Amino acid sequence: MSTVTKQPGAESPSEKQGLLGQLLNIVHQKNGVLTRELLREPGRFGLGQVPSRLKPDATTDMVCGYCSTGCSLRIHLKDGEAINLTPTTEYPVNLGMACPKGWEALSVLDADDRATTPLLRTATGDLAPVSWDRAMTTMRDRFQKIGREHGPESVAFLSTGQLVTEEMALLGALTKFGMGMVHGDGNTRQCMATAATAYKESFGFDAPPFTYQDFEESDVIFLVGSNLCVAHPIMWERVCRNPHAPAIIVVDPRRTETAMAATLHLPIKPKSDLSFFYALAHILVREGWIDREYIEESTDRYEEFAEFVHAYTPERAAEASGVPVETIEQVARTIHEGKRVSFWWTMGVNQNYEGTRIAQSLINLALMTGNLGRPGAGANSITGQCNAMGSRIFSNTTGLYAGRDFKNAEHRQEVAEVLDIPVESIPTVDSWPYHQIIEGIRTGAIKGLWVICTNTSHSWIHQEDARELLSKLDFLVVQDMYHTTETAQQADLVLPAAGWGEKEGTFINSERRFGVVKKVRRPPGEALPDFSIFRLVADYWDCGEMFQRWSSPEAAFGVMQDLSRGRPCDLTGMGDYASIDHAGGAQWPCVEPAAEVDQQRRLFEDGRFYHEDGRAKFIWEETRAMPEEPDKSYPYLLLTGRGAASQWHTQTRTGKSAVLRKLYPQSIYVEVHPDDARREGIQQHSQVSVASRRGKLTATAFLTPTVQPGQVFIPMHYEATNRLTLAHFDPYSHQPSYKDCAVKLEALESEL
Amino acid sequence: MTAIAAKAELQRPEGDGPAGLLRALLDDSREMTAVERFAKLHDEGAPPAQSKYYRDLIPAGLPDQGEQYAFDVDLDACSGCKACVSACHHLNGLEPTETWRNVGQLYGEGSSLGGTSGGLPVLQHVTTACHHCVDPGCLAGCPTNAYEKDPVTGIVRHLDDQCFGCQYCTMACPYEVPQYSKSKGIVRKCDMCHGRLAAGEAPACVQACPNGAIRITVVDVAETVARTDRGLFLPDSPPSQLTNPTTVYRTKRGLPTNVAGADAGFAEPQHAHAPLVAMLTLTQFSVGAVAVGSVVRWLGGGVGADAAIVLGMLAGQAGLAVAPLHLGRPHLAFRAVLGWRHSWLSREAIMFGVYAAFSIGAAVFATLPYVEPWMPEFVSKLIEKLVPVALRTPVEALAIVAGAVAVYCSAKIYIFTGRTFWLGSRSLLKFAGTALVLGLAAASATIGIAGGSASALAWLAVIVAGAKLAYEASLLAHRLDHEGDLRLTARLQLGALKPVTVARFAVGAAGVASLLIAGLGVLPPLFAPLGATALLAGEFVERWLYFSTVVPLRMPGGMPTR
Repeated sequence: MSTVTKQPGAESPSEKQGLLGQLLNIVHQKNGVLTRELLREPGRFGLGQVPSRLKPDATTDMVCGYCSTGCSLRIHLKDGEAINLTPTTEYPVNLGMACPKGWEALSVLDADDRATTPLLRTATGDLAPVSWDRAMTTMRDRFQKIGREHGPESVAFLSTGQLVTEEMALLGALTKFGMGMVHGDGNTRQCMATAATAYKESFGFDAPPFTYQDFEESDVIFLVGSNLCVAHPIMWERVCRNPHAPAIIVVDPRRTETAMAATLHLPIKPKSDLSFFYALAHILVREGWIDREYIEESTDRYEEFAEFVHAYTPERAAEASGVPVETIEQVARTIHEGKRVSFWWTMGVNQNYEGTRIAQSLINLALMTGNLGRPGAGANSITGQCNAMGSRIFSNTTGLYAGRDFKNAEHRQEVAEVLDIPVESIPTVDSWPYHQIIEGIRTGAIKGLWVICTNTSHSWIHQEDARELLSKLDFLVVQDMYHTTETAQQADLVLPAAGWGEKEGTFINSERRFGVVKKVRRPPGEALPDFSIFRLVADYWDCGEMFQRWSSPEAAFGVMQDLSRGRPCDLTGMGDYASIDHAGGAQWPCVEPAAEVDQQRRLFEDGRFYHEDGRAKFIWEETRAMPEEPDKSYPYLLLTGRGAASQWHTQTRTGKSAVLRKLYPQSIYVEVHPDDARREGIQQHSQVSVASRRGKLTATAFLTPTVQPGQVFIPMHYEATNRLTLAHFDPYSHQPSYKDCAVKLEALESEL
Repeated sequence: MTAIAAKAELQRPEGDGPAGLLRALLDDSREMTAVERFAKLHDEGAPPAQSKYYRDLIPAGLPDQGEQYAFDVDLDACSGCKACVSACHHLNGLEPTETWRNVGQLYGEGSSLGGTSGGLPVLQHVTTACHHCVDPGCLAGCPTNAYEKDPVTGIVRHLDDQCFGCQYCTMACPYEVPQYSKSKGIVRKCDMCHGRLAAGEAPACVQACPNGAIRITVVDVAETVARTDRGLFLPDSPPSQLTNPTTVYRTKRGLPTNVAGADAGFAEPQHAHAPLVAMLTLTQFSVGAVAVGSVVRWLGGGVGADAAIVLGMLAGQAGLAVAPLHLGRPHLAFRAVLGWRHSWLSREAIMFGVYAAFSIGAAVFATLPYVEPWMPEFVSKLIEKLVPVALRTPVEALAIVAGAVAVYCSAKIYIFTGRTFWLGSRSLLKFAGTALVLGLAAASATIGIAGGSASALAWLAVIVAGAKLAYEASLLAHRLDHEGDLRLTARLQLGALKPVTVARFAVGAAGVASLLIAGLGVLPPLFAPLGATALLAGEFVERWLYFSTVVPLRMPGGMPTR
């Protein structure tokens, strides 16, 4: 603390003395118990003033466990336990800032619906507490029985982008090498599969090329299907710090916060993305606004692509998107004139039946203009969950560790050697993606399911169908922090898991940065870190011997490093948790010691990509109509997405903070354009029924011109939202397309 | 294999099977290791680490004469993340549900009035906390002097230990700033982190805004008053003339004037404040009964008039007795009078104190003739010496005057809040009307019971009560308005609180009908007291609606929860 200078009006409260003082105090009491409750004093540790009753005796930093931004939070500790937090000032990601979810990260650990013991479904249908031994024995016996009767591949698992990487890695090894499972996928299928697939096809590896510094270095920033202000407020902070007065072009059907802040908002019609971006490519080709040298040195199939976009004229794009031809021409010119153009996208692209090709249409634009591998450039996927990247690289679900392929014998051999396990224990086929696992329940192929740290019964598309299928399983195990999640309520067995802050490990953020998660709270009751639960399962399954090396999360991190050796995501230089911590996080690849490499690194600076020929590929496809266009009976198109910055996914955590709950509407609402509302007789804030061909919900109408006529918007966080959505998927990434289905509206309240 | 810290290794007990592992894992999960493994070292002498980000967001020095500190919000930079709300909560150690800052939204159709919105719709988040007004409503309204405006910084501070929890400031502040805590029995509010500013640190919200949208600036007080007196503050916010808020909302991209809060047009029933309902109705009943009783006596009334005065006095005592029940810390009720220089609540307390004394006096005079025959002679002589009968009329007159002033103060308390449903005659007429209706009805009842002729009083009561009901009913016509708070009040009365409204008019009409029968004098005198009781009940319900269907002034809010 620097010297404190006092000002009038800032005197430290001192008790008045004497009888007169006491009398005066009764009449005008400036100090006392209530006043003292709010006293602040220097908190030391560089914190400035903190509430006196929350003064820490130590601090430590760790990455946040919500989104993929990967902010660092400085945890205030007292007697070793977290009592408060502030954003870490120096961390290269968030620069001293956090969103409300981060600020509230600790309070949600204290919720009274935490699972504190294993819960087993009784004969009468209730979930009753049982011992860990009973839980583990039951899980083993039931899954093994299913395996004996239907084959080991009839038991599958669904995991998450919210666990630490070490836990994902151990889960992947345990299930596939130890328990004989073949099928397992993550909820990352719902958020990042499209970006991963697009990168893999285009670059040869799932490799987001950017670093956050690029937000600050661009002179043209494209944000496609991304409400950065609300979904990633701290990335938006980085945009705001850009000193080059960048052109910010936001492509989004809704007038979002980000659209408001843009220099140009393009409210394209939903699903006109491909036509729109191909038209931009068309103009760039037509005008010769391309980087010929880069194309020749570093890319493949440009000429065919140029041929293809010839048919995608600006006129056609204007027709499809509703954006005037002149604007489209002007946008192409902006790309051409930009020195450092970056293209960023998130769920508007990813959760789209054409998502992979749309992502690639942006990658194509970056490639043809040479906007890759340079500061402020790139075709950059903004990730969803805190560890979606960990799941993509190390979960061993649909791909073998470190971006390998289950079908590749050489890859299997490498992994077997590193892990010192028989190569025969590694499946030789790919896992089914999420939707095929769900579909497998219908066909009877999947009989047992282990759901870890995700909430299928809330978040899966066409919810009623998903719930019904889950109820058909012979045995459903749900492992979660809370026993109240919609999925846990359907479980036969609930395993109580420790949460973020109650265990150790690493997350990998959007820009490939590893950050450390630490244990700063004790898990409630008998809840255990997921890592420990996996070890326990291994032991009961009698395959514990196979995972000798995985003795702790940090040991597992060592295993991961060995698995990454020689791969694009090589981590072998990162060292241990302490060295990552001290380096302020470490981006992959990292073959030198973490402390010695640059903190802001981007990929492909040498113009070499991960395909065998070292070139990036242009990839394209004709655009397709959406499968359920609005029609007479269901005249509106339903868009779903993020509600507020203080809401997260299915609200299992953010719903537990009293402060966050004040920051978003507690009940489900639907945004309707005032013109549509007038036609339907819907009043502001009145109750309306929203129905699709699959389900129906009641919501509060919010009349706002920020949605376009003919479209309605419902945030995804409310339980009922996915009753409406239509199960259809990107054919390459298998990601659900959440943002296009037809609905009808009906006013439930008439005017007084 | 890379280096692994040995501490993290879990030592598994030898040969103990899964149970041993389970025990070891559970033990391990309870061990806190973050400190020894990762704790940070910091330079103790250095300024707060965050200061490099907020250095330019706080003023370099103290305000000069005629200046004060103010929040300065760059609306263009506010992206609606609401980090300011949670940072304020955590850096000030507030209660789990307590927040001192809030973020609302303004929506509007596109406007081509300059700016970059270019005809597209507008969505603007607005972060708001205490506006540290030049003329703070909380401070003016507070009966205990629990608010202070710092003479140098202009920061409006709340003295938590001085507060007795009357919650009047939650009504007097047009911005819903003071927050009442039931468990603590007091309100608390934003203090602009005055201690942080004094130490050269930024307030929590300023420190936490990722986009630097909130800063503290020094503003000129006179200029602020001139600007806010012209209503220049923020669209769809309470009239800034009320308190001269100092917060400056600035935007370069422009904000069309037709924007409205996401909660515009939404109202929900407010707290009914039962003790206040009882207190107001009973004290007004009291003043009315004492007044009518006295006037009737002056005109030659008998036992019935005396009874009305006594009844009125008793009702007043009852009303004043229930008043402290709505305090969070009733043992400090005596502090209610401290703010007499500025607070209508203090003035009301004082005037009802004066009124209590005179009305008791009037009641004593009214009772004496009936108890004197049983008194020893020297006692009645002593009484005659101490309180000569000649004083009776002046005491009654003073009681009436004090009572009328007290009721006026009661009305001013609510008029002061600026809430439309409580403005001017909507409080004054109601409060005076209650006094008159119940005074006339009570007197007609007591006189009727005493066997006198109460027809005239009953007729008067019927006319006044009928007029009051009609006046109240006229509000309901506002349901058809296109906008405005009266529309919302009318809709609440016809919507969520319809049963209460129906009860109000049904009971009121029953009271009028009963008194009508009493006025006609064709049936037993029972109908006058019956009617008076019904009217009293009706006034209670009227006051319930008065509190529960008012629409508070407030900053633009978020989409309401239903």
